[in-house]
Amino acid sequence: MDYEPILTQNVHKENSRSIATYEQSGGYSALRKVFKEMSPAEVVDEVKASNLRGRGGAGFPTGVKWSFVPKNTGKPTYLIMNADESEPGTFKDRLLMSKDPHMVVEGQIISSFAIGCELSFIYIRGEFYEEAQILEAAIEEAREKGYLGKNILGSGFNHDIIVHRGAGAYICGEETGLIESLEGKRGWPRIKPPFPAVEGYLQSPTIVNNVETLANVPHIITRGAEWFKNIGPEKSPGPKLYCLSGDVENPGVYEHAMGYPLKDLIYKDGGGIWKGRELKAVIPGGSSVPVLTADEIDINMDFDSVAAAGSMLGSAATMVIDDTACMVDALSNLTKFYAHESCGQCTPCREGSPWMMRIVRRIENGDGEPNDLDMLLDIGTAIQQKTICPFGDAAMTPVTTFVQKFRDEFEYHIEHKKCMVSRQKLMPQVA
Amino acid sequence: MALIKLNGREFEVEPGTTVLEVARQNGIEIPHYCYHPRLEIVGSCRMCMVEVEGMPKLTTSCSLRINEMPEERKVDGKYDMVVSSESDKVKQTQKSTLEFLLINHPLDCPVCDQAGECYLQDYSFKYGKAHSRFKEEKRVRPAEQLGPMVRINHNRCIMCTRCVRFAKEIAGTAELGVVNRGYYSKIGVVEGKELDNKMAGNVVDICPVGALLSNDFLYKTRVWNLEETSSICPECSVGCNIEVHVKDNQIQRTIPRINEEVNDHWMCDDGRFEYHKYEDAERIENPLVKTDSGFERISWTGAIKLLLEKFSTISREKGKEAIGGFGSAYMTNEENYLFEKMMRKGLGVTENLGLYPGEFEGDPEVFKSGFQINPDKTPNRLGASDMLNLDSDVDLFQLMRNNTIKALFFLHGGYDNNLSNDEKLALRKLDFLVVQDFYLSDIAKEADLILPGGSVYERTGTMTNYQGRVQKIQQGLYPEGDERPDFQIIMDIANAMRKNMMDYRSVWEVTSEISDSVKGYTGLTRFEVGDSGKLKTNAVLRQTKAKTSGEKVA
Amino acid sequence: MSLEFSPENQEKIQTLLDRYPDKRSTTLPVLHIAQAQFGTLTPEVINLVADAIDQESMHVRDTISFYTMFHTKERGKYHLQVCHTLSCSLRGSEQVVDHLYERLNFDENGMTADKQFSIEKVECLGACGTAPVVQINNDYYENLTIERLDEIIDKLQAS
Repeated sequence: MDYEPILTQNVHKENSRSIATYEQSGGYSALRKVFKEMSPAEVVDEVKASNLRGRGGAGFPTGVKWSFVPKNTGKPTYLIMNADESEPGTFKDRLLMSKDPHMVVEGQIISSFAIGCELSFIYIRGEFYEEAQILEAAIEEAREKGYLGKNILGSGFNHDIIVHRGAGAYICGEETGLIESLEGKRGWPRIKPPFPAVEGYLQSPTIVNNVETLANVPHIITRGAEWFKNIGPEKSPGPKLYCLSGDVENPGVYEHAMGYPLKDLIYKDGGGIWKGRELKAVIPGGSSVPVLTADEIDINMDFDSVAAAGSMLGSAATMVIDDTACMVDALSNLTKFYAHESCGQCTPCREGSPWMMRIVRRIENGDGEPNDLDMLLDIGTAIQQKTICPFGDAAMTPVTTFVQKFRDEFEYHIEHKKCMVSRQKLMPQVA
Repeated sequence: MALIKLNGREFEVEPGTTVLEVARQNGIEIPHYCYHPRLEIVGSCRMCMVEVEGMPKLTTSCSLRINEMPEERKVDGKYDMVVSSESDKVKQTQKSTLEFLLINHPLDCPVCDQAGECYLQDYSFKYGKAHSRFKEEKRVRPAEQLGPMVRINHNRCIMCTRCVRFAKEIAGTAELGVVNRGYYSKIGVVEGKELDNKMAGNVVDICPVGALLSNDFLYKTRVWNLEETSSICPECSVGCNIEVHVKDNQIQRTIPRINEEVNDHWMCDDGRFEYHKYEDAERIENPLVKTDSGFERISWTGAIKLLLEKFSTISREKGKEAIGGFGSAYMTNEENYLFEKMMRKGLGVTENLGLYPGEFEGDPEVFKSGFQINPDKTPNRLGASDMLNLDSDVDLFQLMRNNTIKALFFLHGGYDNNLSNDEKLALRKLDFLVVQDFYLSDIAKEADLILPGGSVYERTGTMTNYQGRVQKIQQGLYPEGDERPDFQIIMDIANAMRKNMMDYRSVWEVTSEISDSVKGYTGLTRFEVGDSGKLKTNAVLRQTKAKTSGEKVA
Repeated sequence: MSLEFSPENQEKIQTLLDRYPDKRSTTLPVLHIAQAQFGTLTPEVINLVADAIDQESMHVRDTISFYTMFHTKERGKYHLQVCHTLSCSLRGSEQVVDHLYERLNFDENGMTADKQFSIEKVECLGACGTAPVVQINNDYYENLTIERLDEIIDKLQAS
């Protein structure tokens, strides 16, 4: 049975961004249903029942997160859409915002209603300038149609959305870093507890949800939690946007039901490894998750199956590495990313990330020493679970898993002071 | 109340107390950098991590609050939390945190002022590794001046951000911030601005390593060579509790002592660097008598004899109303008490006692945390006036101008009080002026006889601050000339008038006598006053500030 | 001569101050406006922004230094931001950089002599499926080949 696109159903249509096109295929009917027939608690229950799990990377059940918002605090509640998409390999939210902004906006309004939020934000990474403009235009169209503003559709519920551009910081994708950035400060993540649902933006209850997560909400409302739960595995259901990039013939975003086989993603959708080469390694869910060898790709891409295989679904950003690429070089590339993006607030990450980067670079340049590898693993352990936010874990995971699974390449570099494989260096020496 | 087991010991605590607070209150050392009792908790240094039963990850003890658990979640049926700061996991983490801090930290101990009072040294020794395995190049940045008082050595900075939080939350001036990101993070100021608020010097105290250093103390001496005396700052009537650090009979620096009721953990820069004024003053080392050709030396015996002769002559010829005296708001309660006794009982003075200088005008300068600097630049106005039993209607200068007072005993001991022309003319009308001072001040210059006493750093006794708090002041310096301590001079004069009029063996005996005889000072003996001072019984309770709650973590 | 926001920008800033729940939250949007008008965030611009949103200058300075999109140093008319994170790297971002260096002569600050172009290697731009990618000012140029790169540079040089 062929899969019918749900999230990307409009992206190839002409004028897909306009509200007219969106409404033509049933857009905003979910919003109408919510305001006509449902209470906020009912919306929360429906989303809970659907088992929708966050699409930003952590996979936390969305409905459960919404239910953490305390009632009657006397403070406003805020919903922030996390459109900071900066995890290397991820580019799905951009597609949604760029080609079907109204689906995203509708999801945001419904979700805000569910948690009692009257002013919500879209925190979008600064580099997505065009997408921010597109969202603003869509919001304006929605306002003109009466889907935003005061007393929406006679419901008594007011709502407005502010599009807030970031300015270039990966750590602002972490929910408390995002909140700090929204407050106008440097994006230094906060210690938890307290959790944002209780004390977030301006010390008020705040929910942060990924773009794709919110884009699912109108569909759950229209077609029901049961329907949703039956797409893919029950504990990790729903349509999923998979991002395929790297050494494949056809990189791009592919929508399938959750649980799609990784092998098919690479060889069917992706057209297999490019230039007639062979697969060597795959990072299934964005650079922060454990790498898989070519022997380990026989898995289904849903949260629980990938976790069982020793990695994580994360943002479903699958990066494919072929057998002509040097793993040491690839790791050097990634450690530089993390060293560059470390916010600098806490000791292990601030000092440890650049340290790991320098050691890997030294190995890449032929100056490695035999005990460097165990030292790298040890530094990784010293950082793991010791930091304020998960960035520390994200930074050490590629280091630890690359060294563990491709140790021979690292040892070759150390012993022979050069690459084991053929491709020219990925990146130049200069930092 | 919540019950916690920490390192095997049980403690009952108020719900909401953090694990680190429990440790600190009970003498258990959990190493930490970014935590400071008066600043917002940030949990960023990761040094204080502990292992908690039931939690998979280690947690920072500075932010971990102890709450009462429902029965079924209590550990062993009775503990709300069980924590260890000594487990293997914790020890391993402490080692790695220190390793991370040291990889870019320069091996500067031999040239760094912080040595001997450095948390990084101390914790490395106790909790760290003996060897480094860092082979890369260290991050190097040049040192900078953050402001006129404070210098920053970026290479030594461990980014605990205490200084940034201090400037924002305590001083309220927010000149400091973090600039850049990650590896390149450093403490900075806005271009064109600098760290120049009046509490700036405190950041040097709270910096746990040798990154922030005082320009004043730079390279002066090793801290283990310092003799430390607890004392009171003489700069204004707040009376911040301080420590005076001396080497070779010279003050090297003064730093604050904690007193939650007065100055909390802080002192202002005016007070901190006040001691320099006294260094630069040219001391008078012998009694001096004015002759036609200027001041000449005279022996103590000669001086006291001259003084008593002059006063008794004038008293006999023009009556007791012709004698007057100024007590000093720079001298201790004991000194002023003895002065009052000598003047009234010894010389028969009734009303003509006053206090110099007169009241200062203005409002206190108050900082965000409540710390204040008072406009009254004398340390003991309240105490001196209590001891002198002043009649508020008496204007000594007026009585001099109209030739009523012809002989005056002027206690000074302060600094930089310039007389107005009016005041000088009044003094010049006197037949005989005795000034007790430590340098050739404006006032001393008018004297017929100068008795050399001590500066404020050379006094022992008690002083009463603006709140009415009686606090101990202790001598940190010992003058090397022929000066005598001020209370000694007064006793010597009194005993010359009548044998054994004052036979106290130490200043503290005077304190005891004050506690028996002066209204409001009942019970305030040396031991009662202690190291934190005590309010007079009749103190008018003013706003006591200086304490921020500091904690913003739920 | 002191700096001022253009009347249009002043209006925009006022709207922001009215819409956001607190003033400090307008820091990033106002900085974007300031950078768009003034090009570089000099100390004067920092003070201007701080005044406009009623915050300390140090706060603004602190915030700017954290984000890579805010520049305190001059950049060229066309600022070339080449992504060099893993997926782009695997698909030849290094060749893109090399080619740009060959075509345009950048000095040690990454600026051409005529200040038309400046270059910066940036982290993942979120367009990995169409790698290699370069962002020039606000626009993304994806699926780059050497030919396409030449076309783009030609066009920009001509304008």
